[in-house]
Amino acid sequence: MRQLAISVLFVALVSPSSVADDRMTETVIPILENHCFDCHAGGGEEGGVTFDHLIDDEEPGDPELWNRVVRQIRTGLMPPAEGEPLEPEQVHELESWIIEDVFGHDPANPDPGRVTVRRLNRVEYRNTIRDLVGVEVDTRANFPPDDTGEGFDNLGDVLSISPMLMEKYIDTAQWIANRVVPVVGKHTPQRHFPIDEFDVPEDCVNDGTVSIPYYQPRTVKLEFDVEVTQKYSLDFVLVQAEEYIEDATDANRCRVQLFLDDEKLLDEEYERDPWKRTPFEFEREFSKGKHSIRIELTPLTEEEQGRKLQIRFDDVFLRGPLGKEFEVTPPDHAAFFKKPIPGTEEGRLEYAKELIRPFVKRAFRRSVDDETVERLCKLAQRIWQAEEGSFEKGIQQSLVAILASPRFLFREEFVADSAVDKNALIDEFSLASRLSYFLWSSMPDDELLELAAKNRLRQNLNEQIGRMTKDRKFNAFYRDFVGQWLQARDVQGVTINSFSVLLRESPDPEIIDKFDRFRELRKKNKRKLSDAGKQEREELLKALRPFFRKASGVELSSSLRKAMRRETEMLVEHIINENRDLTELVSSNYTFLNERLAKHYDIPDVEGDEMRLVELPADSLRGGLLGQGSMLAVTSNPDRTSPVKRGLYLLDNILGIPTGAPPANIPSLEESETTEEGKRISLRDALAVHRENTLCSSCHNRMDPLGLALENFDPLGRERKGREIDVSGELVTGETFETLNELKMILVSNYKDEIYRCVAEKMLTYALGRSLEYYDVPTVDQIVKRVEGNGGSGFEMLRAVIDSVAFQRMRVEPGADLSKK
Amino acid sequence: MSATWTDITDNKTKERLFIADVVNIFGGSTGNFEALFEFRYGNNCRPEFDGSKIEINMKHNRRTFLRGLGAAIALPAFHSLGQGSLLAANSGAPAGLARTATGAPLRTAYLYFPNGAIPSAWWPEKAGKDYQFSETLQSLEPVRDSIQIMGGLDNVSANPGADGGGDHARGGGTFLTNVRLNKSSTELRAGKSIDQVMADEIGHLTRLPSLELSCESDRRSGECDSGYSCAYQYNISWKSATTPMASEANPRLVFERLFGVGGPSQRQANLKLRRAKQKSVLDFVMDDAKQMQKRLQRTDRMKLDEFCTSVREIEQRIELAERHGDPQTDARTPEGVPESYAEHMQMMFDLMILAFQTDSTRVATFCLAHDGSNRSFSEIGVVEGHHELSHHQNKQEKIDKVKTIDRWYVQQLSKFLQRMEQAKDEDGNSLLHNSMIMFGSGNADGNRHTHVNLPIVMAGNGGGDMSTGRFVDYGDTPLANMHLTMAKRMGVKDLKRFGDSTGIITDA
Repeated sequence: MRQLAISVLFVALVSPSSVADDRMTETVIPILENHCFDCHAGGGEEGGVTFDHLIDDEEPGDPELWNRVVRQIRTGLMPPAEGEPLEPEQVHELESWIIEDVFGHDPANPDPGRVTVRRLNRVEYRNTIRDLVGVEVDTRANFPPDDTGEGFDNLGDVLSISPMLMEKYIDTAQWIANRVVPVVGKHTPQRHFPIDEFDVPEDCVNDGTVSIPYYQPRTVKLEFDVEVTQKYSLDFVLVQAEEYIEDATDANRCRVQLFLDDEKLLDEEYERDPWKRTPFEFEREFSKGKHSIRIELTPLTEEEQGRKLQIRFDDVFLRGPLGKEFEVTPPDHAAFFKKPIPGTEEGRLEYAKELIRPFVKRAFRRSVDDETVERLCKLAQRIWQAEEGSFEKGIQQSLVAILASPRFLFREEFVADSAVDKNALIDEFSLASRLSYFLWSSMPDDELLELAAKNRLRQNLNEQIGRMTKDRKFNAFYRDFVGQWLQARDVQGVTINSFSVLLRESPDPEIIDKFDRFRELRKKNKRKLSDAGKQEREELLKALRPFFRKASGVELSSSLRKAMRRETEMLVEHIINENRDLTELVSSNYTFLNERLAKHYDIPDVEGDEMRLVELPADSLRGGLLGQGSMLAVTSNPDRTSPVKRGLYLLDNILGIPTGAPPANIPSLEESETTEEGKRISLRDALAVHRENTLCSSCHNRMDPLGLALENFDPLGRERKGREIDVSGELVTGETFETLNELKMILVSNYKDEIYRCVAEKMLTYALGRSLEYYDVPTVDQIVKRVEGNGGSGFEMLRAVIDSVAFQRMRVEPGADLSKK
Repeated sequence: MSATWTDITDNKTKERLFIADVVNIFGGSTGNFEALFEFRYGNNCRPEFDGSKIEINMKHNRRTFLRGLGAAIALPAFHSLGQGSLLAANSGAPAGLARTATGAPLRTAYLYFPNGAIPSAWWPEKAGKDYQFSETLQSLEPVRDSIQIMGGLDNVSANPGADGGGDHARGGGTFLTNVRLNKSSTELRAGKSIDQVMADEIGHLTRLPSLELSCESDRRSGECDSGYSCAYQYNISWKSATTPMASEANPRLVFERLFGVGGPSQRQANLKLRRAKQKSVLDFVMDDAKQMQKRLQRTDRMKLDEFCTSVREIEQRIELAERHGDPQTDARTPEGVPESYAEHMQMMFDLMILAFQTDSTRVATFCLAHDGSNRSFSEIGVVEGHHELSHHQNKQEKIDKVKTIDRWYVQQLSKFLQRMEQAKDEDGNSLLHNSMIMFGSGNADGNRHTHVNLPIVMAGNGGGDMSTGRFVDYGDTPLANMHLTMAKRMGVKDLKRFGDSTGIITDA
């Protein structure tokens, strides 16, 4: 990729040679000399940036350097406040020289860039399989996590494939094919008893199974009807389940009896035997009518309950009536093989083709040549001709081959037939996939594929985008794009310890002492504690309990976390669906809440589980991402807020303002709460001290005021009410504010462009599956311009990204033949 | 969730095995069960056979033994009595390739822990044989004779140089590669890691060339460390400069890869079936890949190369498995990812032991947590994040908490090493004796992000070649020298240099 970039640059430098050189020496260098050379030339290379080569080599050099320059001058970050500011014309002068001469941008034939062929990531794989064959694969549990770059997990360059993953692809393909293609023509009917058919005490349910603790007498019952008097088999697996508690033992035993109607089928004593599974099968004649199973557990010991031992009943089935004559054709077989399987070889090959062809088209997401279909049929044939083979097994295996093929696992792209130029339109099948993976994180549906096959997708693009954004599958866009861009996904896993937060928010020395002592006692073995020790422990626990309860009341429970994630997703959803201005990301007079989240935010009158739009009073600090729990929590440490992380988050994800990497070997700054004299100083003062250091100040001046403005929120995302907190600050660009809402207003009015640009860059990166390079600057400019012209509309942003040259076209390497397979 | 360990605290506790289990474990023969039991539990136990069941009375207190998973330890008895490795030895491998002097397999494992360790609590005071254990390493006392604490090993490739921040990405990404990483969030360029160098040379001796484990099955979104792709931070093993070896965090899946799906009696058949099914599609897949490769542009071809390499590797694995045969184990399949981090980690260690004992692989890596991990350890009373704490500003309270975490990781190591020591290998030595295990971090002082004098513990005697039982300070020696030394001992003879190595460490 880099080589390619250089060759393009080379062309750019050579062709408009003399004019370009003149522009550089006559216009550009004088501006830089006055405004930049003090720090960035003559041996000066602050921030690793130097312009010495302009003079020495008379050439602009690496376009990536100029990509950084254009960003800095546009956001007004350079020249710095103490330097001499650039006039707007000068900024424009520099911008256009960089884009036209350095980047070699040709408005008539803009560079769309190249996307490295993308492997489906584990989310896309799961969704694609769901839409292709209706099977849910838990790829999160079974596949290794995908590596990420630029904050996203769908970049072609970063998605690698290791032997282990390949093995998983093949095995998963087999697993799927086993489920999709029925190979059994006849089988014994069977009936599964799920947990909700049991009459079971509340404490005997765990992991959705009947799990009876060893420690109390318990009875579990199941009643069921049998329709025909015949022989049946009652099957189940008995599991000796337990919980892992480090260094704990559990010597308890219990007796388990199981009765079928009045017959005792099982009477055994059990002790701890971690996760031992014992399968049972009881063949009996069942008469027509009602029957029941009764399980009775009796504790036999009263030892310490170290491991929460349970007897679990898993996979409870009634199979039957037994006997060949009762076997049935499974409905799935009839559904898949709609015709009887032909007896002749030709008939079979023909039927195989009939089954394989439509499937492989959908799986490869484009039309497929005959040769491929024939190879698949041959594969199937080899299997049905083999010993113990069958037609069904042959079809099953051809499905495995399709799902393990690189044409399924990768998104291969081609250019349109008509294309001859080096920046060619992608073909309509490629476009269909780009659209569907962008908006649905999944494969194109039949309608998209049909339009593409007729070459009519581009003609109907508006209509299709409209349809796709109304589809339920569009939720994936919010989950995957918004989830990663705004890190809403992470709120479900972030560790925030509510107990420590409460202690830190309102320190109570008595509680702290008690807790420390309690922890000390808890570490000791309970059995070895003296009676006095035991009593002390009990008393401490009693004293601490109200506090524990309070902490668990504000804990980020899974339902609360989910509500927080949804709040963020729904904000973006609302902005896009309702054509709202994207600056509402920063400031809006509404947010999305359910009862649980509203209670957490201390907002009254929201009832029920359902998330809905709630209007906020004018003085509310909520509204916009800056008041959302997800953002406030994921940028916090487990026990405290981190203004630096919060500031960085806003710069990175909302304002798109570069911060540069922190210098190496500098420990994080914010926690220096003590001065040399050992006095506690506030976080705010501590950060101020560090900003005096020039090495730190260039970035911390940008981050800290933003992060400190959010200090009215604790790590759990609750408002810190009843405390006077100074949240005022001054932005590096000079604006001052007293309150968070004032800051929001400044951002919305003075940083509009930055916000649009930032969203455009994030969305384009995600849509393309590649990082943005210098040659994408004009593309992004165009998107931003279009969005601005439409009142900042979120939907327009989506449309502009899809219409952009980078999305619609691809750069073709000389000599490559991508016109048609 | 399921447990794999039982503490035997007094000799009243018995493990009861029913006769059926015994038959199962020992492949149908109960004739010589006493000897076989001694093999399983060492001579600390006295089995009693009363016709229907066997009771084992543990003679010694506080002896831990593998249970659940550990039942499989019985199997290598048969392995050593003439299956697997003898076949391997007959398969034309040169003598000494990943073998100890006695002819037993020699194994290498790399265990990575994050964020360095508090140096003052890590290093013992005096070098030599009679050193005193430091605070952090105290729990290694039971395996003192089998380990050496190595000081003075540096990995300068992880230094910032001109690349600025990103010491966690570099710490992890360079630990086993010892090259500079390309600072980019999309353009990956590291180097082939030492474990993969070994796997290339000796991988054909076992069913799996190498095994990659971790405890992390999710990634955070957002940017990773200072402009480095997250791939650097999460992968310590690299197949090539551009392809990280993804690791497996789900114990059930590791187990099933090693031994097959289903109950003990079905697994071998399932493995066989699985291979037959895999084989039936590989040709088609490979043909597709080759055709596709012809159509693609240059950068894409690299991705397809990765794909083809992976397919070929599966072909080789199938062939290897057919040649070496499948091990059998009656151990129960683990249930999935346990909630407790400690349990998860010990389970992965158990799986590594199983893989070694059944000679399924001789090279393993295990990333306990990625560098920069901000995990909170509330189970041991540390609620703050590990990474956050590691920048402790010399506050005693924070330093103490980091030490607690450091100790915890070392305790986990110690448990693993003790099990390795109790597990007998085919030559009668312990598994630990026949292994080289490096436990270390890519950061030395997590507070300052230093990469010199890394905290490294070498465990195992390498079949008798390692100078264990000491604290040695190599003073300014590249870590790569130790990697090179281990690779040579594993039989990678032609390797002249590795990363920034300057030679081998002769007295290791």
